[in-house]
Amino acid sequence: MFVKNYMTTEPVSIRPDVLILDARKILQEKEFRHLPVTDASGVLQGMVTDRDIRSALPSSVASPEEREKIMARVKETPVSEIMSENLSTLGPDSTLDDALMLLLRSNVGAVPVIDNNGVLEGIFSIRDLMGAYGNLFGLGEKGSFLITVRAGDGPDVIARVAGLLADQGISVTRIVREEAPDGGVYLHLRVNTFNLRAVHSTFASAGFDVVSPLVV
Amino acid sequence: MTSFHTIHLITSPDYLLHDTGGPDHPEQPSRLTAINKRLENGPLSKNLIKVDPVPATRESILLVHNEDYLLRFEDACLSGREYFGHTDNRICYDTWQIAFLAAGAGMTGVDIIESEEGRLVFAAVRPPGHHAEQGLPLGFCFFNNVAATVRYWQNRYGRKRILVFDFDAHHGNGIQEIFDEDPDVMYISIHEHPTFSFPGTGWDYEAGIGAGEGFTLNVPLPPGAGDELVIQAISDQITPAVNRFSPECIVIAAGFDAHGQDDMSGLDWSTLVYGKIGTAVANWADRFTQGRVLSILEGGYVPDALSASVETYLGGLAIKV
Repeated sequence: MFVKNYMTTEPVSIRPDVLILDARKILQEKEFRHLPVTDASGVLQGMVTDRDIRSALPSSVASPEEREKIMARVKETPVSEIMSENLSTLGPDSTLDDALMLLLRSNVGAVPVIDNNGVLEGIFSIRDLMGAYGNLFGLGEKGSFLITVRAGDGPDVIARVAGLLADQGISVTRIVREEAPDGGVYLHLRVNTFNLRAVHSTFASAGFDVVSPLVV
Repeated sequence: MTSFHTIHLITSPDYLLHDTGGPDHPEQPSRLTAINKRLENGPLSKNLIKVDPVPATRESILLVHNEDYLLRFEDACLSGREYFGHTDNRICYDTWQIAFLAAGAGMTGVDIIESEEGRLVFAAVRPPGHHAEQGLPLGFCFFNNVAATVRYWQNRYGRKRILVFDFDAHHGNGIQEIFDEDPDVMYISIHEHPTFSFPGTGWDYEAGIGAGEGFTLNVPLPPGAGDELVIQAISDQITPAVNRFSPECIVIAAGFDAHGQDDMSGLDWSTLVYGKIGTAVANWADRFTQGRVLSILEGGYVPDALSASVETYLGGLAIKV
């Protein structure tokens, strides 16, 4: 549930005096989109993205003279002049929920993770977040599948469902409760068994409706 | 009058000795009893030749499973454990030996086909095999009967390009894993969508790895899918893929749990559609393998629906046109 388990550690970073075109080269070669900028002791100074670099470069519709003039300047400019400095960051104890809220709010694709002294520890992207939640929900876990039951109200419904399956020796690895837009309350379960028959009969005998995802 | 080609039926009463612990387990000995009874009393009875399986050798199993896996499986059975790997995979003392007899049925079938004694073979075996990976038992499966048969066919008879078509309701993750990087074995599976169905693999983007890329075709169907979508997938996706691959041999992982009455999947196929699948397979065989097809039983957990579907499939496969 913590960012540090899913972030990219030891990310490639550059110093503030690195020239824009050299930074661009690194981004292109490594196929990254975010490059943290740190000082000599590793303390985060800013972040430069492929978009920052693109907007520093001359427009493709500019005249040749204009392009040349701008490129001459770009060639001499360090990233410190174009990097973002007021960064949102995540810390050593940040949760995936913290990261999700931050990524939703800040409109960036990746966030640096720093320790209490501001030293860069990692970088955490939207892609990392998707992978992390996929992992938490057990996506692609061999030998399992998803089943949804109509739960009804009551504080003990998760406990009841878990108990029912446990009594039958059916292994369940995830239970997620959803209050759906249609007003229904559903439990989504990842069950780890081939014995679909036993799963269905267990729910049926306890009065839970299994929701078929769709029927063609 | 309708007439049928001869079918060699490879099965053995010893398959009933694999005890899965009582009536609550879906993979029951009664599955095979029902199939045999139905075939013996039905319209295909005069066209059946019953053959005893020869057990697979340890060497032939080692072509698809690793030594460590065999040792663990042997130990689990012979030490009296109730299951192997996961509580789903119930075993008994005899399971160890019967698993070799199940894997050997396909090989016995290969010998029949290669000696030109017969062209159509159906191996009615248990335990099933298509979920078993090189080092993993899964979904009631221990040895991958289909994969071991494919390797036997290649090694013993020098055949190269082999098609495996799997119409069990569940994705044959084991067959896919074993041949993922192999361009000589094309694995085609049609099954219920992995989000809602065991074992949670077989997405349409899983298409093989490395040299094997393009030699796996997964066709997931939505829960509730009926005959129409199967027939459409066979004509639009599967038959063109078979034509491109141009197989030398065809092995069918024949599972019947997509039947509407089978409560182990959410698919809703009729008994009749299995006859159409059989005929489609026969057409591929006429085009590429001089009519030779080897089918090996996988799933199918409601004995009445299973036996009727098997009979209809074999009828579609063997019908003379």
